[in-house]
Amino acid sequence: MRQRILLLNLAVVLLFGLGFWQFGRGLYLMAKAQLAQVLLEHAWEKTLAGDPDARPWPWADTHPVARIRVPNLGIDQIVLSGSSGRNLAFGPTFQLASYQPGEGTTILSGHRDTHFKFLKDVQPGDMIFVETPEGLEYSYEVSQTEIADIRNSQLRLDDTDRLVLVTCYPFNVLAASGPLRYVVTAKPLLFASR
Amino acid sequence: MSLPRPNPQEDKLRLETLLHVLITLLVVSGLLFIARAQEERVNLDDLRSGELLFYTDTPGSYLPATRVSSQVNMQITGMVARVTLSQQFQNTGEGWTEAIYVFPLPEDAAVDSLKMHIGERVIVGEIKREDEARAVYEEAKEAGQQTSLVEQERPNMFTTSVANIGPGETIIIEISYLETLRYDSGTFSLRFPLAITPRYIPGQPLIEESEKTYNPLATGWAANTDQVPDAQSITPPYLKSGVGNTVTIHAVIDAGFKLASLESRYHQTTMSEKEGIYSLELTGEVPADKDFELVWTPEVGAEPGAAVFAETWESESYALLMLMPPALSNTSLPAPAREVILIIDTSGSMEGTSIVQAKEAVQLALSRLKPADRFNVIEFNDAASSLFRTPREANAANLRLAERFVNQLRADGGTEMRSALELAFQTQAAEGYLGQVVFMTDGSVGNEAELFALIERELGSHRLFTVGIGSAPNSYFMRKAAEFGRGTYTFISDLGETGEKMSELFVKLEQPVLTGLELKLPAGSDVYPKTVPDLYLGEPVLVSVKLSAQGGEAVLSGNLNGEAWTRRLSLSNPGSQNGISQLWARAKIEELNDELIRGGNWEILEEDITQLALKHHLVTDYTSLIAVDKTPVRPANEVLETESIPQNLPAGQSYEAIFGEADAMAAPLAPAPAMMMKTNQAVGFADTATLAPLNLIIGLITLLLAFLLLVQVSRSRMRA
Repeated sequence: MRQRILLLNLAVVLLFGLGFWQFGRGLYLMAKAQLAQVLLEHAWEKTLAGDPDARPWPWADTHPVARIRVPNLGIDQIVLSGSSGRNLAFGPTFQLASYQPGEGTTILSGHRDTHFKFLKDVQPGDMIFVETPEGLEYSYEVSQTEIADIRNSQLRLDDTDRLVLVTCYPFNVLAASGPLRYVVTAKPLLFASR
Repeated sequence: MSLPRPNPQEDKLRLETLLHVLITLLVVSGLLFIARAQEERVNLDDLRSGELLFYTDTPGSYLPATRVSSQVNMQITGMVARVTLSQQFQNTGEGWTEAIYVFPLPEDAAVDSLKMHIGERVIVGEIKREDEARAVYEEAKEAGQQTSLVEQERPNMFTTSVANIGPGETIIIEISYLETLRYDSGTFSLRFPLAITPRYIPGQPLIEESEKTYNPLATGWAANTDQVPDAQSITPPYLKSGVGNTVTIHAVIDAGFKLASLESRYHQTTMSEKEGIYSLELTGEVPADKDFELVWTPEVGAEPGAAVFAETWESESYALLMLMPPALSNTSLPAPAREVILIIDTSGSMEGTSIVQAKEAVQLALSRLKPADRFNVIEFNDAASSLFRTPREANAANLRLAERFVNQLRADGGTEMRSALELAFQTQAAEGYLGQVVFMTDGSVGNEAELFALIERELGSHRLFTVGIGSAPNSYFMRKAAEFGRGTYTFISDLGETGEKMSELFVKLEQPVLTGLELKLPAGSDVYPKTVPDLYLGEPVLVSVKLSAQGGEAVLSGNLNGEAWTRRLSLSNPGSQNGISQLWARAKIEELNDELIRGGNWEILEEDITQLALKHHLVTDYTSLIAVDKTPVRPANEVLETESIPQNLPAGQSYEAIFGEADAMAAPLAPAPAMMMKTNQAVGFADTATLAPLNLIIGLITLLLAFLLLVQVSRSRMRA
């Protein structure tokens, strides 16, 4: 009798565990896929409405500074301020040392296996749009793609208006850190339009 | 009470509890198994039949023994064409063959006749329910009798099956249909499709067939999917290069008026005229790889403003009416500002001349926009994306961006039309703007009905205009999508005509539309289409009616710039013409099919269509034509080889862009075409997203079961 109750209790515990595991996993997947993007989108709306420091979540130590779109690849992402590792987990980031769009070299970085995975499909001639908090959209045309080695090269930073997108290279390697970077350079197309 | 007796009740309880635990665990593990199974991809290679998929013209590779060539005869009288298509199946091999040949027809063809010519003899086909016809065919085939079957896969795609063609023998299958001509902006036209652009098959492969059984004999290159459950029937094999099937065309035109022009748009022809009857012949035998189109215009002043043709059949009167509304052009008010969404198809089947035509069409549309208009550009293949997040003013800067965007587009990948349409319909046009969606595509998808339903559901205040691109666009998609989208359609099949065709369309887009038209007919009339659609500039009202009595009149009325107008047409002295009753039945069947797409009762509508088709001898989704020769010819010891007749790839298309790289096709049993693989990938993405909800459901069910078990345990503990 005791043994049976023990068995049953065990089954109950097992089932509860299993249930919570599945439920939690589902929630986590949903959250991971949706929440960050929804919150960032929401924060960007607030930024466009005039809040210069709209945080996607209360404890965030960053805020959105731009929206990047590559229409022919279906890319539409919110860019975060500052290229820290933590920020990179949520979206592409704006290198604070670089220039604002329209003023000089604008550098955006992203993970090669998530947000900036699309860089491998980018070809010269592709159009890239960057929207600023003022609601202006700057348009660029990709002029070149190249592989750079951080041991012997540096990104040029000056007041010539251009957009530089950077991610790690090669694209399909498991090892996290390497000296190679994939760099996409785009030249401004026209003046900003609304 | 002393000795404890064994308690049967407790035993039973114990057993029950044990059973509960067992069932619970089974259910849970079953659910987990489903969750896992969902994560695994279905391998398409496992699903395909062992049929040869592709045919090459390289030496040593396989070509079917049966050759097909077609002769087309068109007899055009007034508003109606009677077309006879003779397909000659010639067995050049030494064995007995069965040939399966998929071929295109106009999307409004009323196919009513099948004749099988074997030497001197002619066997006339009968109309039967689809499954009955197939059973008769199969039985005759097994018995060694010569037999043929004509089935409808789509309103513009049919299959001829011919069994027991002897070695060196030729069997001619003669199919005949009626069709109403298109009359638009003073021009009559008739389009005869001669090729099928390979269809893209979206959706998840079906592992088990649904309760509705589709043709089990179909051997197409695509697996049936949830979105296209009959994919196998509409994906015939293709010749990699070279020309297989050829065609000759002969047309006689008795327009009823003097012609100002008569032209074959895409083919070389010779013409002659005798007493107002025009005769036209295709120069030589040509490959069946691009649509044939005939256009003619009446002399100035001879343009018909109204016409009525009638037939009495089985003591009932039928009529075909054409009525032109008053011309809009000079009386119109300035057209309202427009918000134009231009959709461009950049899928693999567009690669080649099609994408060049489509790009030019978009550029022309952009150049036609006025500063007061707003616009956006959407491109789609595996997924859809728009140039701007929301439509923008058509100012110089935005137009230049759009031009650049269109210029750099490349054609590659799948045809996920659904996402493009959803994106276009997502937001209604801004207040005070006319929302117009112009869709440039070859329409080569297999899920037409699903897309029509989507258009019907999500159109809102938009109007959808389709532009069929390429040498063999899917005319069924073009016309019906525009109908459900309450717009109009056109075709661009030659680079040279892009400017002309687009200008015609722009005129329609820029002019106000005739809405709220009313057609009054004598009481008791049964008319199709049931409601008169909105008319764009140059379009007539064209309806089929079953009249309850002879005579009477038709009155078309409407409102133009606040002024009421009417047009009257007497039905007393109609021109008599054969086949008007069948055209009426065909129009009614189309209306019933539209009901099906709108979500009508499947069983009732299907039976209505079947009865109508059986009565009027028409091929539909549910009825087929079957001809059987009585005497068996194939000796029982001879084997019958089944051959799928390969299609010619439409002119100007790239085989590699649709089916993948050349190397992949080298082996006779080629891997799944690139198009299919891409489908699978696209599906893969969608699936990952559905996994989380599944986890949630499993989690909830498991928790519920755990709770129930807990209740059970505490109960039995209390008893103990």
